[in-house]
Formats: sequence, C-alpha cells, structure tokens
Amino acid sequence: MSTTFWVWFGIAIYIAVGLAIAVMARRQLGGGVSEFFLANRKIGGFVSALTYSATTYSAFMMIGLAGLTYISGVGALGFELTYLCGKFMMVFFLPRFWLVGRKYGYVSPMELLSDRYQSRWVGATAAILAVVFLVPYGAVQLMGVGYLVNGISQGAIPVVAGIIIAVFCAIAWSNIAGMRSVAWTDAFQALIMIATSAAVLGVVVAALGGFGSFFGKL
Amino acid sequence: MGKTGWAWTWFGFLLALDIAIPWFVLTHVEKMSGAFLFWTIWVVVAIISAFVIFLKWKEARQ
Repeated sequence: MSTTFWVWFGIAIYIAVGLAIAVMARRQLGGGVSEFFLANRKIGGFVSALTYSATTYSAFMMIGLAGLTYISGVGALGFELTYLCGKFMMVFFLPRFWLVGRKYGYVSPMELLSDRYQSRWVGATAAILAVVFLVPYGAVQLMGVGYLVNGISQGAIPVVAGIIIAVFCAIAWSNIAGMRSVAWTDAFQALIMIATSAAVLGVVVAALGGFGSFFGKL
Repeated sequence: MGKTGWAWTWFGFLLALDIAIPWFVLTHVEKMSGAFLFWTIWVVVAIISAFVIFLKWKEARQ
C-alpha cells in the first residue's frame, strides 16, 4: 500500500482516538462557566504538565525549532534555554495564580489583572494583546500541521487539507467538553510527541554511529 | 539599593551576558566548549538565581 494510504490511516486513527477521549471527558462535564473553561479547577498535576507540554512544544517546536536549528545552529539552543528560564518562573507564579483564581473566582488571567490593579483597562489591554499575539501563534500551529502532513505524504496530501483537519480537531475537541477535553486530548498528544521524539533521537543517533560519533559530528 | 533592585540588576546582567557572550565573544568558536557550553551553564545559573530570589517571595504583610 502507498505511503499516502498509511498517512490517511494514521490521521484517521488519531482523530478517532482523540474523539473517543473527548467524549469520555464529556461524561464528567457539569454545568457552569468554570466547569467548561477550567474543568472546575480539578485538572491534576500530571495531566496539566502534559497538556502544557503539548501546547507549548507543539508544531512551533517540532517543526519550527528544528528548522531554526538547521539554519542557525547552536543559536537555537540559546533561544530554547533562555525560554526555559522564563518557564521556570511558572514554578513561583502559577501556584499563586491558581490560589487567587480559586479564592476570587477568576476564570481568566485578565480578570485577575483587572482586579489586582483595579482597572478594567488593564484587563482589556491584556485581552487584546493575548488575542493579537495568539492569532499568528495559532496560524503557525495550523500551518505546521499542514506542512507536516504534506511532507510525510510526500506532497500527496495538500497543505490546506492538513490545516483543515487540524482546525476540525481543534474546534471539535475544545467544544465537546471544554477545558477537560482539551486537557485530556492534549495529554494524549503529549505522550505521542514524547514517544516519537525519543524514537527520532534514537534513530538519528544510531544512524550517526552512536553518541560519541553523534557529538563528534555536531 | 534594595533586594528588589539587586534582583532586577542581576537578571539584567544575566540577560546581557546571554546575548553578548555567545553572539560577540564566542561567535567564531565552533566547538561544544563554545556557545553550547556557555548556554548550558548560563541556564543553570539563571534557574538557581530565580530559585534563590523567589524562594522567600510572599505577599507583603497587611
């Protein structure tokens, strides 16, 4: 069978498993805004870590950062490690955000900012900035999926088809059970990414003749 | 200068090093012991700094 068939087969399996997970998440869906948008603040640490990983280390990293490394070399490492230091700040900030969010009933960070600074304009500005910067970020993710599908099918599947599939999955999975279905499907995605990244590393190192040869060629 | 001022100064210094050393000093050192090693050590120092500075961070007493 052709490569294109196996790519479509893999996509179909992926969508089916994701939909099944989202439907399972819906069984726990209660009523209310906090339930839909925050899963009632009851997502555990392990799933939170996985959903965060899948969101942050998404197409931007799997495709974009690999390309950046290819064209700029070790500079990509500097970018990623500096980024890591910013991420480390979350160890201190996010537990506090979670605590005040639960105490005062905030659903979004913008409500926290508005309340903290007693200004609706602060929250509105943050919301506008978030939307403005999330649009190109979201577009890049969708383009990444399109290019990925196009690449592994050796051009048989158009980029636009890959983007449409990604949009379908994003809309369906986020609407079925809100944050809970997003978190669970993200966790599934993260596990796939961790496994495939480790597999790719193993294949590349083996192809270069082991770790000694691997570092020797860097 | 208070503790907050020192913290900002230290992080500013780290940020300046983060850019200046690899891009200007080590830019022609094409070895693992160049920018690769620098950034690896830098990130450890930056994370330890953040840990030390924020460890006692808490809400101001009312």
